[in-house]
Amino acid sequence: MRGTPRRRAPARRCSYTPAIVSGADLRACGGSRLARAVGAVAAVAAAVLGILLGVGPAGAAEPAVPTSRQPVAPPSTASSGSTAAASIFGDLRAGDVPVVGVRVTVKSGGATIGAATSDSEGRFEVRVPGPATYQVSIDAASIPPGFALVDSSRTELPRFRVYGQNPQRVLFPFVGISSSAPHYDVQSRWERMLNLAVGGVRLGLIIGLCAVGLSLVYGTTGLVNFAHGELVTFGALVAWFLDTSTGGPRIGLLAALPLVIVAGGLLGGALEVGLWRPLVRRRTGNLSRMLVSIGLSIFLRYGYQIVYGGNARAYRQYSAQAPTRIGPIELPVRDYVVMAACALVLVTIALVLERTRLGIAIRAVADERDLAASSGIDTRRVVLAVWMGGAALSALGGMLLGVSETVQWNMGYRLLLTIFAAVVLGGLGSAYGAMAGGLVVGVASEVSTYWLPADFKFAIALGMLILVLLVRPQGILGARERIG
Amino acid sequence: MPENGSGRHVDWGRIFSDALLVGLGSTAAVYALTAVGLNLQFGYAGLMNYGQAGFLLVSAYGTAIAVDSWNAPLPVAFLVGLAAAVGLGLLLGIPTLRLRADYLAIVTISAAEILRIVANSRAAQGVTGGPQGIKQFAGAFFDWNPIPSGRYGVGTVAFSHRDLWVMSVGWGLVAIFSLVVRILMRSPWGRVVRAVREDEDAARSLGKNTFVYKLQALTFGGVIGGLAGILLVLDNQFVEPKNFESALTFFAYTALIMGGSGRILGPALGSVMFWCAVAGFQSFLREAIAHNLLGIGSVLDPADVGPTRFALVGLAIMVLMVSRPQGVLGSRTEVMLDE
Repeated sequence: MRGTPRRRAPARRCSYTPAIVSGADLRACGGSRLARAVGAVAAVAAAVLGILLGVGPAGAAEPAVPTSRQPVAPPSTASSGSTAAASIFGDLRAGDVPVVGVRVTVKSGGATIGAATSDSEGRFEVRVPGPATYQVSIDAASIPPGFALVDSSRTELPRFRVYGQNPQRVLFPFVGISSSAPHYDVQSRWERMLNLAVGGVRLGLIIGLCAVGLSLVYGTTGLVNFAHGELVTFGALVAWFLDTSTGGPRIGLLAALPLVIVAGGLLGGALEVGLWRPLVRRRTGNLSRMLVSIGLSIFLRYGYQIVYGGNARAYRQYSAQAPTRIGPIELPVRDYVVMAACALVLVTIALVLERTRLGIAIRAVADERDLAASSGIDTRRVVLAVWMGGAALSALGGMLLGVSETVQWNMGYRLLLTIFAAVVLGGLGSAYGAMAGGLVVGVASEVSTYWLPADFKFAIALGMLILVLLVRPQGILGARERIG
Repeated sequence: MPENGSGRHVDWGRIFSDALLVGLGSTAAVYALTAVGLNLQFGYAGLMNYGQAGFLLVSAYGTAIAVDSWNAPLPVAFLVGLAAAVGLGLLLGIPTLRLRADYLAIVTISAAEILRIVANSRAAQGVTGGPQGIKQFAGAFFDWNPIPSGRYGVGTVAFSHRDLWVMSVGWGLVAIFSLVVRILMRSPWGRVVRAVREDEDAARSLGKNTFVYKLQALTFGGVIGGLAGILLVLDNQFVEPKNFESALTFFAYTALIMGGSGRILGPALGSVMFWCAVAGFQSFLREAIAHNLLGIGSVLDPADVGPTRFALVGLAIMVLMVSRPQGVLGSRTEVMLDE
């Protein structure tokens, strides 16, 4: 099936201006201290990412792609109206080099469903009737000379599951034999555990990045924001539009990074000025605003689906990358970079909170709003700063999550309860608690897959959330009087 | 879905009948029943239960598993399902009802998601069928159907005898439980529950054990939700984890708020309005896209109809909460939303 059309959204889907942003009064976002703080975070993050990602392409040229991590099963709504048909697809690549002419067969219960041959870009796609478990196998004899599977015994995936009516990516990592491919030993149990823990740190850092905003918004305004996941998705989608979309500028992820942060901050500021501030002025209570945030979440999420479409996609850059070994740890370079960037941004946040007047004001308002107001702090500006900063961080988190996994319209929503878990674990309203909680939740849920089936990963995080609320409702770092 | 856009003009009659078919149909009845339970919990007792989908799930799976794995007769299976809802209510309520309202919301939605993940997991596949679910377990329910086969209705708004049977049972349950809630709310028990909603400390200082009242309201509301879950999967003859996503809870909340929370007829009226609006709008969008009405066809394509109507549901929740939180029937004084 050479020349199978690639699954790309029509350009029309990428016209990307949510009405809320354009409709709101953005002039109010020009607080200079605030702008400096956001700018500082953006600049530092961009600089470091720049340095680190400089290694990216070099790493990408090295051997293949054993990200056996498949995208989390999308909880696709049966009635979501997506007409995308179920299929199994993949990109056969050794680093950046496509592996052409490899025959892939899909069977179900012994009967052949279909077969395809990888095209000039290494892409193959086999249509399947619908969600079920399939056997996907690769014809070892058709592998062209100069290439080999990273794991040569892994020519068949006996239980590959397709969820919903969506194309699902299957990974067959290749290496170019001519290059000096390092040969990895089978990992010991200890090494496997360690690698899971490091994967957990990666997820946990991203969760922490997203959780800071949620926690501080709660601390300063009392709102449990169910639309926070959509701020995460927003960042990933803006980056996708800037980097990958055929109708977009295709400027590359690195150049997109500061724009993503700025766009996220503007969205957060617009929501505060255009929606939440008027509601507070009308004395709408916390629980009513929570319901409004649910409406906002549904509205934005399905809006994303309309403009972006229902499929999970990868960014143009860094999506197929070799694992690089540092000691016993094997991860693609992008994941090291993502972790470093997250850690750096989190440290920057801590510095901003500790050292700047704005940061001190934020902590004061989060701690005791009335007292802060009576001591002369302009709480309105602080809340605006929290919304802008929190949304910018979430957008960054979403983009980094997209780099290390895939981009989908509901990716933030799927992460939302995990972010809640992190926030509650660390103590609602505390920024440092959110960071710590993110790490704990991330590591615990990844490491749990050592003993438990991977589909329980998410349940573990939620179980921790419930447990913490029962045992220590104020969280690890929360203040005692926060519980009601 | 039938082929759309076959006519030359926008078919307003079809849009109208589509809206009525869904708005009166079994789906609306299921959501109405779900919302009756939520009304007791949220409207009267002030409990933010965001995990109502979990109650529907345990009852639906309880019933299906009892028939599928233990070959229980259907009436016994119903009892198993409802017992599961009672169990979940106690399990959730005893530890969490002492927490604040927003914590309760987070715990209940998390619990409902955990249940869905477990039902969907490979480990539980032997019992729940995993993502494939359990099929064809409710034949007996349709054997009880006393309605002679045929189609009933006026013009294009007509239902098969099978649909009519599910609808009568569904709306019958809605009527019965609306009445039960009305009687309860006029009893001393109901007055205490409302007092707890208005001011828990005041109720406590009068010597009422507010915790027990909240637990009873949560559990009873959950059981009503459980009935809705059983009805949902009876209608489909199929239970799968996808039925019980958190969107179900939020849509039921939307219906409740549309109708008026804290009012006896709020859930039923709200659910009819909600589904008429959703289905009517969907039908309108399909027609509008097919005929390029107002240029809609050049902006959206048929695949966008599903997401568009849900996006509008989200918008509706926001607008309702901002402009008329008491819904059609409510009075502002009865709406408990804020401490």
